[in-house]
Amino acid sequence: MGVALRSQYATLWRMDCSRRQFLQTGIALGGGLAIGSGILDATMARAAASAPASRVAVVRRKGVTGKDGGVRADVVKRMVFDAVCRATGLDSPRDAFGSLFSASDVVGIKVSCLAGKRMSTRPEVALALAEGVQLAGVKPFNVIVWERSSRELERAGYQIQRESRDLRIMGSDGDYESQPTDAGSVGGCFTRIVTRLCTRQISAPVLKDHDLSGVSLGMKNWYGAIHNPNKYHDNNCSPYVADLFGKSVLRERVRLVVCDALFAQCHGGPAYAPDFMWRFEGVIASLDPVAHDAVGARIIEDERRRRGLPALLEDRRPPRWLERAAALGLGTADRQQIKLIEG
Amino acid sequence: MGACGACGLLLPGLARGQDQARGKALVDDTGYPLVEAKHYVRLDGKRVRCELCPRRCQVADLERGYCGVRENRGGTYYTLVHSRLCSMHTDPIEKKPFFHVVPGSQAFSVATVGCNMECKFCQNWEISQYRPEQVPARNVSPRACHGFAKTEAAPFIAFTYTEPVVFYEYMLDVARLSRQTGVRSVVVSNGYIEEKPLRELLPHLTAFKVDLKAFRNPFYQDLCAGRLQPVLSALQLIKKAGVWLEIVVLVLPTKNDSEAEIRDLARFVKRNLGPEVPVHFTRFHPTYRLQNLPPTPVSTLERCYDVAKGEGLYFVYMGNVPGHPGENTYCPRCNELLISRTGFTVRSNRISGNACPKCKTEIPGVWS
Ligand code: SF4
Repeated sequence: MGVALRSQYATLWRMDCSRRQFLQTGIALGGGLAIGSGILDATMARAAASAPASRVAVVRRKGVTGKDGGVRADVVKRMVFDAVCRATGLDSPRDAFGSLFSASDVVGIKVSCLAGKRMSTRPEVALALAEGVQLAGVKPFNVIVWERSSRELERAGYQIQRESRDLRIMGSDGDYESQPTDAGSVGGCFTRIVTRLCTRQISAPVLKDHDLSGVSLGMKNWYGAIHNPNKYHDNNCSPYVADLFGKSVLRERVRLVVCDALFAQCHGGPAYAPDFMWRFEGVIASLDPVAHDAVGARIIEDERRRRGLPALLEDRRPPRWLERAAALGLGTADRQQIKLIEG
Repeated sequence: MGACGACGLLLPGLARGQDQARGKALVDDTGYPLVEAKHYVRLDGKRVRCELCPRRCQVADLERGYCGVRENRGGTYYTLVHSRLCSMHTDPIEKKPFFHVVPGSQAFSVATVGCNMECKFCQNWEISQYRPEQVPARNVSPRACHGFAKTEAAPFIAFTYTEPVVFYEYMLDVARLSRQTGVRSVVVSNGYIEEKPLRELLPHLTAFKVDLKAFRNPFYQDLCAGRLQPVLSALQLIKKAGVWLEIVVLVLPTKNDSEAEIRDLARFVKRNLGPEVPVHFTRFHPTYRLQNLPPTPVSTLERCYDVAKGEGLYFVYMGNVPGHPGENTYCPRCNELLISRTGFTVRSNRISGNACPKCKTEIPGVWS
């Protein structure tokens, strides 16, 4: 990222902050980030539209989740579209998705389904993304919702559609490249869904705590793309999360992160821990995976503080890999340079 | 897929986990026995800490340890590989290599997936570095394993190919049957195991081969994701327990082949384990994540051999160099040729009883 762009983001962030302070709305987030109901004015929106990265959109809708743990699919879809529009700075979902994908693409949507129905990427979010991608002209069967195993997908409420002429939903189920891709600290064999099948990827994680990496968000989600993720959990998963995402096979293909933050979990992850779950009723989107994860981590930290839980650093599991990712030039973790857009 | 060669040996219709030695005979949703792990402690928040190997993984609910074959399910830790064999093959025992264990005998050799290290030069990475659900496997109960060994007329079952420490519960259950069946158990391991589980296992074993990856900790850290000291401790414990011990050192050009390192290694063996412990220096071939080194020059192995001999080790061997005299066993006293080998084939064995036929010096090992 060039110096000029960096300073532009910094300027935008300052402007946004001033406005936010003026409005004095929103939920205060630790360390200076804030999520509120601020609305970008026309000038800022135009400026933002010319700056595609390091924008993080947080869209929240009260009542999108039900008491039974269900969600309203129609509202979820609008939230996803709204978040992607805000993340791209474009007005219509067609333009927003069209700016990221083209008709010839095969687009993978990597969901996170380790924790079963209650704390995995909701099918409603994945299906909304699939619909959005099709607005860009991508054929239905060229959209693939995937996870490392079909079993995990099924447990999370997905129905496997491996050979479908419509949307495909499938696990990689052991179909890996025969040789490891070696770079940095990570050497894993990638699933061929990433290397052979898809030209573009979306990371669709959930907003949750992780016992070792601190939080499990957009970049950590790619642990599901290699055959040996268990080898990369030492030292709070650092530098591994960043090094893995830094591999060109991911870095060049992943265009978007859209986090299912309808329900979120601030402790006890990655498994479902109901005592630490709360209704965030949000969708978070960004083209910058590092900025996305920095914002997600901050939201989790804030909820932990609200509940009297120790900060992740005190709990000896800070997401160190964020700094490493920023150092590798994968995005920005510097909150001064992240433009938070809420709606 | 890697080392799995002899699936033709498998019999149909094996009962699932029918003779699990402990725990309830649970069956995983993948159809394999689900056996509670040994040597772990429960922590708060459904976390567990595995105390099987020096990594001591702390594992959250639904997560696995570093080896990828042990999983926390709601605060109970399970092995996912009990009876789940990805490799079964009958090999000459020289292939393990054991050179002082009934030369020319066969070892029914088994493995599950998984390893608690990640050696960048692993020859069997296609099974050792994978997770159970990623590799085809067969359900072979401990008793069935002994049955196969008998059918193959193999006097030994060898736990080998990957890292037996990570399939500890299965290995222990199989080894415990050795007294009943007469098929003895031998282990081929990196020796990366905690003291308590090792002590529990040793009484059931006949021989233990340890891959000593190097004699410098940075090598262990950088190329194996492990540590040297726990391996040295395990070596001493094995020796003290009276289980036959052999050591293999895979020699990597420029990485662990300096004269000083080999000398230190040989001195350690002599001082702490005894000069009679065989040490095999074997030849590396580029593989897995270490493709940028040449195969080990034979001259390097010869230098290692000379250094170790010079330090006073009685039985030094060279491996992966078929036909080299360094594969043979010589009497440490009179230098008489005792066992002549080419690769894994024993050409002649002149050991008489357990002694040199010429000078009558006792040759240590398991000869019958
Ligand atoms: S055996 Fe596996 S889970 Fe246990 S400490 Fe070792 S690597 Fe970790």
